[in-house]
Amino acid sequence: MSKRLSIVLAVAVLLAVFVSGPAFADWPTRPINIIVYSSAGGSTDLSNRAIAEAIKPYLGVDVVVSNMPGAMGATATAYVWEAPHDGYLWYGTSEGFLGLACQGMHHTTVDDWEFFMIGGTPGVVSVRPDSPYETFQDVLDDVAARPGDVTIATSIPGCIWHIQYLTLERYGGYELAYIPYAGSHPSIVAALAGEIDVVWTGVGEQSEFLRAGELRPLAMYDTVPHKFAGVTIPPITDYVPELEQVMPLIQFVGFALPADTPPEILDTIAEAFEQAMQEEPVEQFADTVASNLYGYMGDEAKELAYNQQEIFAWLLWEQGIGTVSPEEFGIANPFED
Amino acid sequence: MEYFFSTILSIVTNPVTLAIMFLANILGIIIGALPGLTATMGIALLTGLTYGLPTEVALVVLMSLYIGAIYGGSITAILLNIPGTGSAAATALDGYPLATQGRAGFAIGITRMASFFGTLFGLVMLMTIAPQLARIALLFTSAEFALLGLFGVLISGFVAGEDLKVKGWVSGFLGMLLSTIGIDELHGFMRFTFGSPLLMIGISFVPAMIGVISIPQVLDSMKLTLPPRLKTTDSMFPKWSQFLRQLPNSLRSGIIGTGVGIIPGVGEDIGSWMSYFAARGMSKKKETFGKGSVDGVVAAETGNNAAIGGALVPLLTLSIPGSPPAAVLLGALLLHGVRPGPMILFEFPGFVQEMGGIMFVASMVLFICGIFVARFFIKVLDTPPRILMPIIAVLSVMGAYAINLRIFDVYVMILLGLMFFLLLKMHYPVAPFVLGIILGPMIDANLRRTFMVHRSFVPILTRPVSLVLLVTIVLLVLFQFEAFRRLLRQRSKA
Repeated sequence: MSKRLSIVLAVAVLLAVFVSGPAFADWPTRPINIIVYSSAGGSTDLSNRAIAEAIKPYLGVDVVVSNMPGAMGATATAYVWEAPHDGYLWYGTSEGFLGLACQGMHHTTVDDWEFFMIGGTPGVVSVRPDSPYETFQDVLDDVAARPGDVTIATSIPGCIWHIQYLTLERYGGYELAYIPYAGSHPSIVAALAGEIDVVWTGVGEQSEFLRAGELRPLAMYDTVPHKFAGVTIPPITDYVPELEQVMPLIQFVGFALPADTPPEILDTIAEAFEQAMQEEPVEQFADTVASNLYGYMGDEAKELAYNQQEIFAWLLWEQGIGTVSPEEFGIANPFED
Repeated sequence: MEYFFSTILSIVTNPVTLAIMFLANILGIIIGALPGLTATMGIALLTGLTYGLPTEVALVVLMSLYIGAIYGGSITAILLNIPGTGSAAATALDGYPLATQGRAGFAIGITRMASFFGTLFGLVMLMTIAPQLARIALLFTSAEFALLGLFGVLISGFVAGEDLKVKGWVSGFLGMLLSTIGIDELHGFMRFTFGSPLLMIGISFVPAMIGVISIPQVLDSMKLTLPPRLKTTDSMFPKWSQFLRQLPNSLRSGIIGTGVGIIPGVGEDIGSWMSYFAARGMSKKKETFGKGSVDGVVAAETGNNAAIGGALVPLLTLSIPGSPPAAVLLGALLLHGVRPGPMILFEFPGFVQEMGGIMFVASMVLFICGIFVARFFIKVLDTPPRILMPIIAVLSVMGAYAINLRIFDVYVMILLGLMFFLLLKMHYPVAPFVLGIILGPMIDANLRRTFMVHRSFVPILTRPVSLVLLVTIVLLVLFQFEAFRRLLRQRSKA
C-alpha cells in the first residue's frame, strides 16, 4: 500500500467517525446512576428509587440511586453537571432546584436541564383540631384584624410551601408572622405542640395526622377541591381568587439531565420514562407519600419549570433570601407588567 | 403480643435472616467504632442497598446496624480514648482510664452488657406505653429545645472538666461559637463566612470531632520515649454479680436515655451525657468519676442505647424522628411503604410489635457479636503506639474526608486538632467542645425562634418544662461559686 493511499484511508476513517458520531443505538451499555440531591427517604429520593426500579426493564441496564445531599443540593448539581453529559448520570432533583441559582449555589438554571417530573404532593394549610379557626376564612379574618401576629410554619425558607405562602402574602396582602423551621416534620410538630397557629406543608407529610384527625385541613393550594381521608378540602382560590394567576405553582420530584445530552439519548430515556410511569413501584410511591403523578417531560416540563423559576427567583430576591439578582440569569420578573 | 413473638420466631428459625442479622450487627459495630463513620451514615447507606429486599429483612438489617453502631462507639472510646460516635464521648471519660489501669477487657465487657440492657429497656418502653410516651415529645417547643441543648453542653462541661468547671464550659462555648459559621438556619444569612463558599457550609461536627480527639493524641505519642503498653489480661466477661450491682444505675440510665430519646432531634448524644451526669450525682464515690468509674461507663452506655427505643417512640407513633439516625430510618420505612404516624396501629397493625421483635433479637445478637468484634479490636492495645498512631492519623484524614468528600474538612480537622493540642495542655476538656458543635445549631436556632414566636422571653418562665430546665441551669452555674455554696450551708444550719 502506498504511503499516500494509507493517509487518504486514515483521513476517510477519521471523517467517518466524526460524521457518524458515537453509535447511539447501543445506548445504554452500562449501569445508570441517579444522584439524588437530598437525603434518603425524602420524596425526591423515594420517587427516584421508584422510577429506577420501574425503568430498568425498559432501558435494559441497572439503574442505581445514590444520595448526595449538601449545600442545599448544589453538591449533587455540580457533580452531575461536571461529569460527561452522556446520559449515564441523572440528577435526582425537585422544584427546590429552582432557587439554587439565585441563592448563589450553582450557575445553571432551568434552561440548562431537561426535566422528567414524576409527581408531587399538593400543598395544604392546616391547624390543630382545638384551633379557633374552623375555615380558612377565619384565618384570613384574624390576620386582617391583627396583621403580623398569627404565626405560620412552612418548613425551610425557600421551599415550595414557603413560596406558596409568599404568594398569599403578595397577591392577597395578608401578612402572617413567618416562623422558619428545619423541615416539614419540625413544622408539623410545632403546630401539634401549639407553638404556631397555622402549618402549611405538603399533604404527603401531613397525611397521617389528617387521617388521625390530629390536624384539621383548611385549604389546598389549588383551584379545585380535593378529597382526602374522607374530607373534602376547599381550594385556596375560594378565599383568595387572585392566586389563580400564579398557579400552577407545585411541588415536582423527579430527575433531570443536562440539556445538551445527545438528543438520541434523551429520546430513549423519554420513551422508557413514559412506560415506567405506569409501573407498580411508581404507583406505590404515589400512595405512600400521597403524591399526584405527573409524567411531565420535554416542553411541558420545561414550561412548568420555567414559569415557576420566575416566581421562585423573584420572590426569594424580594425576601432578601436570594443573593444573586434573577436579572443576572436573564430570569424575567413575573410581577412586572 | 403475638406479632412480637411470631417475629422473633420467624427470625431465629430462618438461618438466612439470622446470618444477615449477625453480619449487619458486626458491620454496625465496626462503623460505630471507626471515627468518621456514624450510625446515621451507615443506616443511610444500607437504606439504599436494602431497597429491593422484603420489608422485614430490610428492617432486620437496619435495626441490627443501628444498635451495633451505637454500641460500637464505646470500643474505641475505651481502647484509644477516641469515641467512634458522638454518643460514646461520655464513655471515654471513664472507659479509657479503666483501660490504662489494665481493665480494658472488663470495661468492654460491662459496656456490652450495659448496651444490651439499655436497648432492652428502651424496647420495653416502646412496646408498652409508646402512644402515651409520644406525648412527651409535644411538651417541647423551641424554648425547651434551646434550654435542653444548653443544659447538655453545660453538664458535659461540668463532668468533663477535671480542672475548673469553667474550663469545660469555655470549651463547650467555643464549640457553640464555631457551629455558628455558615448559612444560618432561620434566615439563610451568611455568618462568619467572609465570602468563602467553603465556610458557607460550615464546620461539620465529624471532622471537628476526629480532629480534636485524635490529633492531640497522635502528637502526644510522638514525644514519648517509652511507649506505654496497656495490659489486657483481664476477662471480657464480667460476673453477673458485678452487673447486678449496677442494676439501680442501669435502670436510672435506662429511664433517662429513653426519655431523652423521645425528645425529637436530641437522641443518643445527650442520652449518654445525662445518664452519666445523673450517675455521678447519685454516686457515693464521686471522686472516682473520670478516673475509671465503672458506674460511669455503665450509665453512659445504657443511656445511649436506651435512647434507640426512645427515639423510635415518636418515630413510629408521631412520624417524628427522635434522633438523627432515626430520621434516616423514617426514610427507610417510607421507602418500604410503611407510613409511621398516629394511624400506624390501625393501618399497619402489628408493625410496632414487629419492630420490637426485631430489636429484641438484634440486642441478643449484639450481646454475642460484641465479643467477636471487641476481641479483634482489643489487639490494638498490643500494638506499639509508634505503629498505631500513624495508622490513627491516616484513619482520621480518611474519616474527615469521607463524611462530605471535601478536602476542606481535612484542613478543619487538622487545624482544630492543633488548637486542642494546646488547649488540652491548659486542661480544657475536649468532650464539651464536641457537644457544643453538635448542639450549637439547636440552641441558636431555637432560642431565636422562641423570640420570633413570642416576641418576649416571658414564655420561658411560664412554660413548666422550660422553667424547670432554666432553674436547673441557673443552679448548676451558681453552685460553682463558693459564696453561693457557703450561703446555702449557712441556711441549712440555721
